[in-house]
Amino acid sequence: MVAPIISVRGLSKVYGKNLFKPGFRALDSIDLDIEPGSVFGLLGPNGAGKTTLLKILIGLAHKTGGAALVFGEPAGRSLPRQRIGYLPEAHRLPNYLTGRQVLALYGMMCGRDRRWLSTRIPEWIEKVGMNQGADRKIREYSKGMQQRIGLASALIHEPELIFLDEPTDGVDPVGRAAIREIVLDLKRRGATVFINSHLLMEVELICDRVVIMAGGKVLRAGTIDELTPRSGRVSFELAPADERIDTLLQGLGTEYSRTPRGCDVLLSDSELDIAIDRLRAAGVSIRAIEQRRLTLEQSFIDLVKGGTR
Amino acid sequence: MNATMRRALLLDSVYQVLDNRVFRILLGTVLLLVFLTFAIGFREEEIVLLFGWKSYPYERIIDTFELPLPAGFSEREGLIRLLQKIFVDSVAGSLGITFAIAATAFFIPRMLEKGLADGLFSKPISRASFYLACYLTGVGFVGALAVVLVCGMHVGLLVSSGYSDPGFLWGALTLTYVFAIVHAVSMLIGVFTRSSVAALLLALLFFMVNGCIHGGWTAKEGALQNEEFQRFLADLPPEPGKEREGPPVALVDGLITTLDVLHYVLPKTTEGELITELLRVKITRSEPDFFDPESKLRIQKFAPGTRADRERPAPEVLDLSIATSAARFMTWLRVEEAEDDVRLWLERAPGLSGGRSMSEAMEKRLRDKPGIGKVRRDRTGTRQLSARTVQWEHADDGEVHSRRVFVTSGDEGIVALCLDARADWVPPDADKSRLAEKSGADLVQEIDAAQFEFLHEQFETLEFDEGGNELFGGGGNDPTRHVRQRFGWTAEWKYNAWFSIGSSVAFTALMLLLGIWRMRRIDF
Repeated sequence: MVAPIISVRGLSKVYGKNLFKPGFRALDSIDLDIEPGSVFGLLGPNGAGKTTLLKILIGLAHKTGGAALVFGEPAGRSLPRQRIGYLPEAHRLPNYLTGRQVLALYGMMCGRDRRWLSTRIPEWIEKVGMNQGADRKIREYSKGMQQRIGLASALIHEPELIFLDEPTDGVDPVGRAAIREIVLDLKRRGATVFINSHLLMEVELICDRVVIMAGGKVLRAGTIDELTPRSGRVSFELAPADERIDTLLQGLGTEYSRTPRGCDVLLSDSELDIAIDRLRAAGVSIRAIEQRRLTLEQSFIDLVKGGTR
Repeated sequence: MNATMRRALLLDSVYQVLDNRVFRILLGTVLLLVFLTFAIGFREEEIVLLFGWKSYPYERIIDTFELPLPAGFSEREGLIRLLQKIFVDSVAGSLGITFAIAATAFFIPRMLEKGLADGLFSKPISRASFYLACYLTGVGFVGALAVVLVCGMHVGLLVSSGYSDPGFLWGALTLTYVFAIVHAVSMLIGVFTRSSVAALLLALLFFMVNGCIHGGWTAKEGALQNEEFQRFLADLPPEPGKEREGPPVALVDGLITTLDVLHYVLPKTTEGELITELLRVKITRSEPDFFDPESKLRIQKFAPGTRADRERPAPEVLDLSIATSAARFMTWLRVEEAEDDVRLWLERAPGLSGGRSMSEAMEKRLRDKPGIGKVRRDRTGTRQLSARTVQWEHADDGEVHSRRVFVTSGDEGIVALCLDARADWVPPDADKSRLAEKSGADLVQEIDAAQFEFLHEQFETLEFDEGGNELFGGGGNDPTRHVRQRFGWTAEWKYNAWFSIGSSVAFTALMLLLGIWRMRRIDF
């Protein structure tokens, strides 16, 4: 069994606690093991504790209780941070630097020497589409440009574990596609990527596994398939659309509705078999049958509403 | 943290400083001041602008602006020293430090801003390293500006005026030392408040209040020398004929204790200047042949053929006593090759000022005395000091003696170099062959000139340490005199330079440690 890259046990964080105030519990006894080499989506409503969890793992915030190990070492230590890349939410880069200088300095801060960086920096500038503005001061950048250079600066030292907090925030659709491609490239390289995003469609597109948090707790962790079960709704596409379909499927399933090319109906597995038999026996030509799944968004909302109730 | 990471921190600091507008203004101001020292030439008698474009005699400038030149120096030297003091102590030492605080106060608050801090502190560099890098950046760049200012002015004066005082270069150290202390406080405020404005205002407030506390303590130490004040503190009745008014003794006593505690605990920014002077003397000078700690009169090396004669008792009648009874004997100087009894000695008259009035008084008294002839009064000087001379002859047991007194004045005191020799005494360095060609009145005139030249050479060896020409005697109203006179490497602990440095460094270290402690506890 592969050793987890992140191991969290009973992790808690309480903000603002003192003699007179109980404080705000941002994380409540979290247990989590993350194996290397996947892209994780970290989902949750505002105030769920996602950013707090990331910050504790990186060493930007201190835990109140429990244990958090990164690469087998207590979170927050300098050495593991050399292998971590982090793009914070609403990050700011030093506005007195140019984009190229940011990449050079941040790379050096992670221990990479200038010669090594001299070949990587142009590559990353190219990858994030910043060829035109790399030598301008950060203060002259738009939000999207800052986001692109920020992403490159988080990845310039080729980290093994990457935390991206809202990586596509403020980026145009073309830029988003480029960022998605970068993340998939990281995955191919074998890096472990954590994506904290509210754009569930994007998470669904990129991530292998998802961790859903709410109220400082992990509600669910699993693959996309595990989190988006089949809804039972089946969509029939017939050729041509046959008027007899209403009669043929009568008495089967619920929530029946006609579509231009067929119908949608909620069926059990045995009812689906019967439906197919009836249609075929009547000589109806079936072009497609699609078993609908719950979207990640529907699962997320169901889970969060259930979890917070 | 490896060398690459350290280089990254340094580069980050350099970029940050070069991008800073206040630093650019400071650098521009410094370069302007340096340029002025190139553009203004200090000649023997006048100031020349832009290599001869315009010139102004010293006397006119001094009279017009009523400049308080340091005493004991020629007009040229006095004016240069005054300007150096104004620029380094006042402009750079107060205004410059204020600007430097303004230029660096934002360092920590900006680093801790949300968004930027997350990115920086996720790097594998400890927060303590970031904090110390910030501190060293500020100190390094203010130090660099101070070096540019002081070295630039020094080179400027050397090129345009041919004037060089290497001791002035130590001014850069004073500025950096003071800033290093205040910067640590500014950073601590920055890390606690995370506000540039609060860091700036509170650091400036600290700088001013701290200066006031030490100024108050220094004045208090001076006041404690006053007998009447001591009687007041001891709750004794005032001396007959004196009235006493003022706050209750307990209040004054409490104030003194508070001042003492604050002075010992807080960094001694006001003593930076004194420490620099001590360092300058310690590093650039070997043990002097003669040094008078009270007047700070120094003879680094006696003129050739002269040495100290500590065995000889003080003369019964001092020449300065012709004009004052307050004269004090300082030391004998023996002329080694003198066959006859040549007496050469130094005197100090505390509480007096004005070499001119003193020499006039001497001349008047001498003219009224019987047996005194040929009284001459004149003005001379060296590159370092200006002097009044009084020369006369008197008959003693049938022998005619030449008497010459070189008087140089401080703000509140006078030092005199006195010679008593037979009228026909030929100094060891005199041109003997030239004298052999002369006879009669010409010979007398030649010997007279040789004797004057001999005393002038002795006079050239005199110099005052910084502040020395203000430190004559116990009179005067300068409240800092008492501390300034006693401050040194081996002085009692409250005036001790090591204690001053140690307590200031300890305070600065404590500020840095507190800052690092706070920095490590922040949840971003």
